[in-house]
Amino acid sequence: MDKSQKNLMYLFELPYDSISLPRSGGKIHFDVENDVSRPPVVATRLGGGIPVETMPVPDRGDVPLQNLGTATTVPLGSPFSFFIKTHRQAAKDLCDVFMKTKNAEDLLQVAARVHGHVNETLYIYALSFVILRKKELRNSRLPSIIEVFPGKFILQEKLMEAQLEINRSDPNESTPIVVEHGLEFAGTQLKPEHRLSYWREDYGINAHHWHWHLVYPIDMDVNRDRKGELFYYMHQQMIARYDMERLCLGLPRVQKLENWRAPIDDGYFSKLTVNNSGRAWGTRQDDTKMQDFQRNDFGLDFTEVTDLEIWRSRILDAIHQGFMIDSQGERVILSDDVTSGKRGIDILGDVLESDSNISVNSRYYGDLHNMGHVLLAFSHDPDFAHKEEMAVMGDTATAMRDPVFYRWHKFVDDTFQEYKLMQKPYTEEQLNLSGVKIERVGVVRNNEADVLHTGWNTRLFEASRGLDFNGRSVMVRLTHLDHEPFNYHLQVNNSGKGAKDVTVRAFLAPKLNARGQEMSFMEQRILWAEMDKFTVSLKPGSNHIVRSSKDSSITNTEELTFRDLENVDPESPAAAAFNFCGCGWPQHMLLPRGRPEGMAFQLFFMLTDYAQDKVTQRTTQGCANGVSFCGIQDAKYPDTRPMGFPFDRRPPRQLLGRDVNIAADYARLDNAYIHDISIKFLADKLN
Amino acid sequence: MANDQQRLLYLFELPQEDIQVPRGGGSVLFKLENEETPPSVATRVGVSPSVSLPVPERDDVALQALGTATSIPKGSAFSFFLASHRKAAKDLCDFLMKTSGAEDLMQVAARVHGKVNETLFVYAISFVILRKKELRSVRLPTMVEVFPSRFVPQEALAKAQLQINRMDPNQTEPVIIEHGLEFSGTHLKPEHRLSYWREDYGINVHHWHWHLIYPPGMGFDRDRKGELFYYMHQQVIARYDIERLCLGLPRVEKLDNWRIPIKDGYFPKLTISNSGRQWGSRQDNTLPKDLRRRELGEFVDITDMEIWRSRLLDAIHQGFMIDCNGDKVPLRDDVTSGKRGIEILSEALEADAELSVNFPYYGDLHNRGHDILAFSHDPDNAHKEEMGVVGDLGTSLRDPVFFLLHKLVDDLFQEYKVTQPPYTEAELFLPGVRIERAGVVRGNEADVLLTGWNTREFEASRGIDFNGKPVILRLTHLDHKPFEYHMQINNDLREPKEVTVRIFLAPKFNGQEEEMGFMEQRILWSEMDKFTVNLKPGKNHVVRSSKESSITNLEELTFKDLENSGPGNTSEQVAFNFCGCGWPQHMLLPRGRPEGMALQLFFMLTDYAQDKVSNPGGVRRCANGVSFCGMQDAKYPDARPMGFPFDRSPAPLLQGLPVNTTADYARLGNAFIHDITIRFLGEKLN
Repeated sequence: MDKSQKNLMYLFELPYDSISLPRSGGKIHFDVENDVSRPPVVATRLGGGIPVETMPVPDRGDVPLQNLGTATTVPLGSPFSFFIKTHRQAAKDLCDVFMKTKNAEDLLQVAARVHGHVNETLYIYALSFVILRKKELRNSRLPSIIEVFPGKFILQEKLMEAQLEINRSDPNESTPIVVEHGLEFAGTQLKPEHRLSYWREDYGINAHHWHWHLVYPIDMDVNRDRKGELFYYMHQQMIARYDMERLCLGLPRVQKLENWRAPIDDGYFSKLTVNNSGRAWGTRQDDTKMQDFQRNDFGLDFTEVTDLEIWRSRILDAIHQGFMIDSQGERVILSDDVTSGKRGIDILGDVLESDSNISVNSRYYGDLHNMGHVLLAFSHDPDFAHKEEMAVMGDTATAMRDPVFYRWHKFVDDTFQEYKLMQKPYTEEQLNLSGVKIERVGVVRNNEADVLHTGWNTRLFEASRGLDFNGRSVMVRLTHLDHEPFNYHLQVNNSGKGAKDVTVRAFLAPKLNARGQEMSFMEQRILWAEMDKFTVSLKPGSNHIVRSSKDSSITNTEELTFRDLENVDPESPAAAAFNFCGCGWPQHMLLPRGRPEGMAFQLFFMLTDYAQDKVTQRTTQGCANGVSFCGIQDAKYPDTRPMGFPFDRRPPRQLLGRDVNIAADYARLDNAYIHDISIKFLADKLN
Repeated sequence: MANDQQRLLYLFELPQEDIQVPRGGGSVLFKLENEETPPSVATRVGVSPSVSLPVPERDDVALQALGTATSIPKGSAFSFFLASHRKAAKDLCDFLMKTSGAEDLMQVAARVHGKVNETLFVYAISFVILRKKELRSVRLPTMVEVFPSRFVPQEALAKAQLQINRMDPNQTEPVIIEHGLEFSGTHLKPEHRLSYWREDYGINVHHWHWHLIYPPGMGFDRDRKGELFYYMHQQVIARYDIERLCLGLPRVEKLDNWRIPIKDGYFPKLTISNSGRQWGSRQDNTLPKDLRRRELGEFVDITDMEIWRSRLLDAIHQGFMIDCNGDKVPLRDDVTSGKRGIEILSEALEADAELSVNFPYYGDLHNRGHDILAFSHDPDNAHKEEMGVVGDLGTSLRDPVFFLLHKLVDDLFQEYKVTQPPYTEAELFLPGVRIERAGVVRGNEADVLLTGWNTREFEASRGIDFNGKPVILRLTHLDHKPFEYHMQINNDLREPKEVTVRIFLAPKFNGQEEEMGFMEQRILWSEMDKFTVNLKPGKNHVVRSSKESSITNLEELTFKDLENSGPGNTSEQVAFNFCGCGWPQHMLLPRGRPEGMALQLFFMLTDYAQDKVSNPGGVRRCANGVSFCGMQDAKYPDARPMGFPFDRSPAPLLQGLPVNTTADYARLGNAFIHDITIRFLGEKLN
């Protein structure tokens, strides 16, 4: 990684402020040649004795500020929504400009010139998109979106607290201000839904959702391997985890948003701001109805609830008939048991999300998932009568804060499940793996077996990287759910004569439903949350496998801060090994909260034949983290089985000659195992 | 006086900042004994402040002495419509009323500053200054400068702050915020066409100020307070209706059914505090909900509202209320002693818990109506949302629902008023004087008045700290060119006659462009002026300037105006005779239409000998806004029922002929009706 690659991160600082304003606490300064908009404060701020590294940005005839396509149509200071088609087009136009650059230095200059001419979120989106996709920028890492856009994660009032404190303090003071953002969320505990605020408003899951949609965008001519299927699977897993969390809190599982003509019980008031001038995100009162979208400020066609209903009806027609109709009127078969071509779930995922470039018939099946976000994001002011901004449902970095996100995605998932239930159950042959037997499994935390601990923890972010507080450093200390790390232990017997490569699949689900009863296979089926998936080579005889919770196949270790990135020496070999793509479920949210008195969960393990699971591909520099949710950069998804296997389908009627009623019946297979554990919520006592 | 003025004036500056942050652009500093100065003070005050106001340690200012005043969190909304907030205000006012003299009040208030909610603080010191005889000469600075965020959208203020953050720290040029004709909504909904009117700074300031003078539940019973509550709000509705007719909108409908959604929502885009906390908003089609605000101690059901209304209507149609002992209290306006019925009814309707004849029975319809509407977006605080603007006196006129609620309130009053016997010919007629001609003149043109846009500057940095930098707001508002009323009056008597001249304005046509019947036009008549003239025998030419209107307040006094008012020169002091209450002068005329709109002026002369109210001499008179605001420490200066002669149904016959239209009243020699045109120029007036 060269220095220019590293310097790209400074383009992510202060997205709302002039590019000429010093960055990195005054240490870095873009010297933009012939910049007329250069603010006078630069001179005075630079006056301080801090060493300044200047990055010259020459005037370039080839930066077509007048020719950024539709990129300039999204107003500065307002939200940017990837769910809105015209905004996707704007993003594509800007990404195209950036993609034409030749290397890091070139991108840095072009992007520095474009800064301030396009919407801030769009700018960061496009810059991230390009850095993730340009091979020569492989080693550039993205700073955490929390530091880039603190306003999307931290309540306005908390940020203002810091600004007011600075206004009132001695201007020569330089110690950072620390703002505590503890367990105060946008709502009270009065409504049952608000008990989940700590989960929905967690910085990590929202950053994950932003990042995921950056990696798997739609309408961007990105057709990654199994993109549609992963849209289904990643969101299905988030709903499973949300449901688990609900059960921990004694709440029923989330209800799909099915009747779009009835008021939605729960509203949402985010108390966040869209930009640095305090403009508030749209809000939604309790009992608000979804409304026909009739705004003229996005260049979007008016979309009615009826349109959504018709799209849903057509998609269900396809699911239950087993085929879609493409734009030529030809049938496109939907089946997951294919030997070549796309699985049905992949086709369906692209249609439902939808990606208009990939959908088999975008005009016919419409844009259901995206427009659902849009209608919900504007239900408070569907016709722009009140000049209100969109609500958090419209932004991928904030949508998961709103309870309606889950109700909407439960509907989306339900549609996918309708399809999945049309598929033939896995056969005993597909499920079994002869010759290997799991003898025992469990989890160990700190010498204690099968009891895991969760509680509160804190994390510091530098808010002053994204927002200017008169040049002062402002830290935000966020409280979040966390758990004590643990290890999985597996005793596996390989009765074969040779070593055997197997895929280990680990899932977690609550043992009991909301009524306190054990669940049938079908009731528990879509609650199983993937915890890990990895390959091991079993030697003949007994094997003791130990796997750390930190190695999970779904998680990203932690968000990288600007400071983390600054501390990487670009010349060191470690920088290349700094193998991290920033995508993945947050490690601190790997476990559900559990209960203070302990809550019964089940771990399900299954071993499958790696020879069958394996995907042949050139070894590329993979991303070690979050593979199951995010895939591998520039490579195929590394598991040939349908995502969610073996729980993505209904069970066979019988297994080993006996009925299958509960998940434990799968564990009759030697290569599977089910095991009870307890998760205790310690609240403040987590160490 | 200058000293008193100055001492107290600066208590209104920067209500959300430490009292020891310099005020008056750095020239004034409160120095509190035994209090640390905030660290920014030393560095900001390059030049030492020219005025230092020392505040000694005071043992008598203890938090415990403030009663419930500290119960309202700082940085949150303060609502005079909430009983618990009224109690907090009463506790704080009681405490401040105990001070003697400006210096004492300044010291005590400076010590209380920062310990109580900011709006409550400003309310209470305003209340006390207006009521303490020894502070007679102290004037209040405009609310626009004390709380700019109630008048200008958050984003405009934040942009000024950003501009300051980014500019050369040595620059001293003020930053100017233009707040032009961009209001909180678009023109998509018909209601939004009236935004320029509802969001006008002047009418909102007027409403704040009016309620400061006529508060309920403050142990305070001014002459005809209840009747004035009815009349002032009735007139606001009349003016709103006139404005609606100018824009081709139908007259406002009362909020009659509380069980169905309210069509028009409101998103004020204003903030409550300097920490960016937003006022609550209300979506279109929001259903009013039972109020369940534990943190405010407020629990009101829609059913309560319905029952109170039903009981009030029982009283109106039966002609009496029932007091707490179960005794009848007759309601009638033709009384020779005691309170008029409208007065009794109003105290029960607003309601003033202390003055209502039976508060538990007749409830608190108007106040609780504000409360329910202010919280319909989050009635149980599930979302930790602040109240909507309709809960605050300084902002409630911005929301269309204010007018729906007050149309309901007025409708109840009108139900009562039409039960009163019509005025007799004897009551209406004044023999011996005759209006020969009447009209208006602007420039040299007769009977055509012009309206258009104008701007006014306020100093936002008086109320909000922008790192000590000056920030000016330039607000665009409706205005008109000044004009004069001219009247040719003949006095047939042998001697001079003192008469009261009553002038009203109403549109000539209704929404269907038809001429209106008396009853349809009756409650559209808005008072333009009321004054006394002494008619000499024979011909009289009476000229009266529009600026002298009996309902208006000249203009808001800024901090700068007050600073420049100078040390006490008695004649200047008297000339500066201004109480800050009244309808804004710039809103005296309705907008009219670009092509000109037909309105009617109605003039009536009544016998001053009968109208006169004897007040003890030497009281302080406020020259402005008398009809809406009364006079300080004096009785309301007109013995007739407010709104006379339009407050009642007409007699079926006048001078033997039927009365169908207002013009039939003008058959009387002492009355006159005259058509005029109001043209809206749609551009900046010069």
